[in-house]
Amino acid sequence: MRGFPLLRLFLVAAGLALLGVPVWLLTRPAPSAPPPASAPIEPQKMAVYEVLLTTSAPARLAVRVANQPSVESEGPATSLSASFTMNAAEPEDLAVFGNFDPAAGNCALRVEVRIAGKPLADSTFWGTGLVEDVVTIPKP
Amino acid sequence: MMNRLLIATAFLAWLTSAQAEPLRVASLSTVMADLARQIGGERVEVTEIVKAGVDPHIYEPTPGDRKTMAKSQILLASGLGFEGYLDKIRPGLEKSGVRLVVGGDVVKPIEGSCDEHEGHDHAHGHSHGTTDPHWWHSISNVQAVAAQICNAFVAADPEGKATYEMNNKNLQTRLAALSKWVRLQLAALPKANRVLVTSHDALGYFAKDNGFEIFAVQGISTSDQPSSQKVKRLIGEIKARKVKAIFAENIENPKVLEQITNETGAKPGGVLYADGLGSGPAGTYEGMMKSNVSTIVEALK
Repeated sequence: MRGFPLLRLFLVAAGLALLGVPVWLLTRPAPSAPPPASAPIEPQKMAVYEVLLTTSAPARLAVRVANQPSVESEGPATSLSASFTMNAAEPEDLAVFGNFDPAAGNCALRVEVRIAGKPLADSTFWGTGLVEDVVTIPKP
Repeated sequence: MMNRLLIATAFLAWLTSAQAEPLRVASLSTVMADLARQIGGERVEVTEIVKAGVDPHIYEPTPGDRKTMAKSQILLASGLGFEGYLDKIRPGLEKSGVRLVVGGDVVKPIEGSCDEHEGHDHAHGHSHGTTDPHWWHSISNVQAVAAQICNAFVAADPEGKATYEMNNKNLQTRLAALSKWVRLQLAALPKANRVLVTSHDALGYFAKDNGFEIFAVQGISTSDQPSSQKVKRLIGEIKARKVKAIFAENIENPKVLEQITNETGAKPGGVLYADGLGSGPAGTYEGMMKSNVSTIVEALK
């Protein structure tokens, strides 16, 4: 081969680069898909839930909601009302407690939940001594 | 006269010892072994073939295990594909007169996620399909299986009927109390925080019962390996949802979880018992559920 050495070097380099293109195309890492965006979080629609506990006999009453201070009766009582502001799209469960005198026998603890006076849940739990349970508020 | 009395006494003693011969029960499930002990009491002798701490997804019975199974009168298995070898050993066991009690036959199955199974036919060691076999994470399923075990014991040992039924009734009461305890504990956990990131997808029944969303690194078997794409997607989800904690499992290698924890900033939430019972307080079904729920509530609230 004759000619300028620099030209020969350039031609060899160009040839190698051209040969490398298909190899690079075959072996290049596939572009990774970006992680899918998480489901958009809807703005919270807050609502005030009115809760009324009534009992068949005096009891120490309490109602608890996640991340909120619990509401308790000061002493034995036959009713307790409370209100909690929660996300209406996903209201929290209510944990309700009625601590009756065991001598009172079988007692009832009724839990009513309303929004602006409209009834949402109504459950009654029976038992002796400590009556405790969870009320799930239906989604609207 | 004295001789006759001695013979009658000896006969009665023999009869009593014959009746006291316990029902031989073998179990491939630590959960079902616990239920069997509680229902059977002293009338049954339960042998755990798969013990606590053993990964049941990769367990294969040894010749010695097969002998133990063949000698038993009742063999307890989870079913729903959890024991990939069950169909292989079933004909031989049935020929030996072993009665199989498969928990999965009486539960309400749910589908498990199977997105890690591209080109993979579940035939090696964990032949479950897309049905989630971890039914014991729903207490109502356990109540159904307890009744099934009770019926099997009554059929095999009719003389113990009253004992089995009374023990089952007491167990059902305790399980109902456990269910209420779980709901009361979880009521303290805001619903927005009910996201479980775990090693493998074993807590689907728990999630369904209690309103949780599951993000599992692996599929429904511990032998499923996550792709790098899935790990990346998971990290994105954990960051977007601001998940507080990530849970390891008692029989898993938590290496991948540690990597995800480091990259997302979520804290390690503790160890959950996913594939069966653990040791110590988690050595009973009630103890295992209480341990799992307490760990979850403590980490996510």
